[in-house]
Amino acid sequence: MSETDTESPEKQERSRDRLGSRFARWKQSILERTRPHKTLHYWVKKAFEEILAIRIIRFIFQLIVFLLLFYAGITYVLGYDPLLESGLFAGLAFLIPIFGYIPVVFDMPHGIAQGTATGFFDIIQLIGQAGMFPFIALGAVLIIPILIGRSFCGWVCPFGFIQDLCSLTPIRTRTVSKQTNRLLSWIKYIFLFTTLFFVLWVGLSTFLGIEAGLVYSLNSAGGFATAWWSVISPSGTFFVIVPYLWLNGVISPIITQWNPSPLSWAPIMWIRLIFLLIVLVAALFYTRAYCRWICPVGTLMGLVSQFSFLTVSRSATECLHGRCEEQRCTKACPVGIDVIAQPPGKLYHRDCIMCLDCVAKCGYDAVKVDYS
Amino acid sequence: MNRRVIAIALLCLGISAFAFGLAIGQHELVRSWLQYFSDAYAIGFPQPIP
Repeated sequence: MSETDTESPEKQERSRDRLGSRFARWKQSILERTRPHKTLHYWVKKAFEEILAIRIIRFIFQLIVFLLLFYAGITYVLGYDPLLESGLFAGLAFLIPIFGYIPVVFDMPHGIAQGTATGFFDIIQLIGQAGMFPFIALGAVLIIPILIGRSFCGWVCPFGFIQDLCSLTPIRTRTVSKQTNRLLSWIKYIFLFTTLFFVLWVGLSTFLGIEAGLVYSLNSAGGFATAWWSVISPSGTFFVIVPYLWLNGVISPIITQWNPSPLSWAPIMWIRLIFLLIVLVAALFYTRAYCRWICPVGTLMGLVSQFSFLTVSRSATECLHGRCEEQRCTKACPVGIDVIAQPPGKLYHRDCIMCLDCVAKCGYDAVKVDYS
Repeated sequence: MNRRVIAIALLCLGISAFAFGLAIGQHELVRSWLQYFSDAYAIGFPQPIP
């Protein structure tokens, strides 16, 4: 018989205690490493972090961009720009062409069926349908997500900001199962690839000089056959169409007194408004619903951003080898990524919008920003 | 293939496409569209009719 078999129960219990205390010491040492001592330095650092919390910085950034774009929409509708005319923003006019290539969904329709454009997705559609290859816009699609991932979605996109505001309402946000999420994710690919299909179809026809045969069908389908995403983009509806209706006194009479004039609107107008309404209502119940399941611009960026240099990275040791019970990072993620279930190291996920909520919420410094 | 290699390849491709687009003057086309909005300050804006 071996020696361990002959050990008395008391001895075995003492051995278990020793093992238990060793495990407790190991666990304590990890906690001590991850939770700093509450010295003066700790409290100063914590106060500084609270004041400059990532969420607040992001909110301010989003708010500035939102106000600028909302203002741009209103000036378009008004027909003049009071601030530009006053000379206040005149020096910033050189920035106008640059905005053409940032991935912000914001279209300015000149005619309801024909959207144009800032944002590389609109430019891809417009240049593509003109029978040319969109070199610059495609370059922007590759360069921006590789360098900074989908940070534009999390930090700049004004429509993302509106959704973030929706999720701040007292309405309790809900989660969807992984299966439903996967199923709904197909919608954005359908929108993206149908748009690109139409662009390719019309663009090739124009390039080959056989577009004459398309005239009838294009006239029938209107903008849907060419830059069809720009026609229904809820961002364009929100920033241009709604201010237009409001400032032209179309909405107010509907609210204050029944006015049947909306009945005479073109069907496309109703499609735009209903689509916008659906997206906003969805954002009340599901955080960033539009970004997760519909937005083709984010989807296009996501295909590239999975190779991005800028990512969030999770340390296996710091978060107790994925056995962190609180799972704050996963709960904080607005686009529903199960952060803790991802392999440790850099998080390459095409849905990650680099909002850094997971970094802010993790109490163990296990989730960090990584640029490599 | 290593992600970093793909990332660098995509970045090079993107920079090349961007530079080529600039070289053939494609930005002028977009600039002209955007200029349309700047000019609109002077000529009056087209109205997005519902």
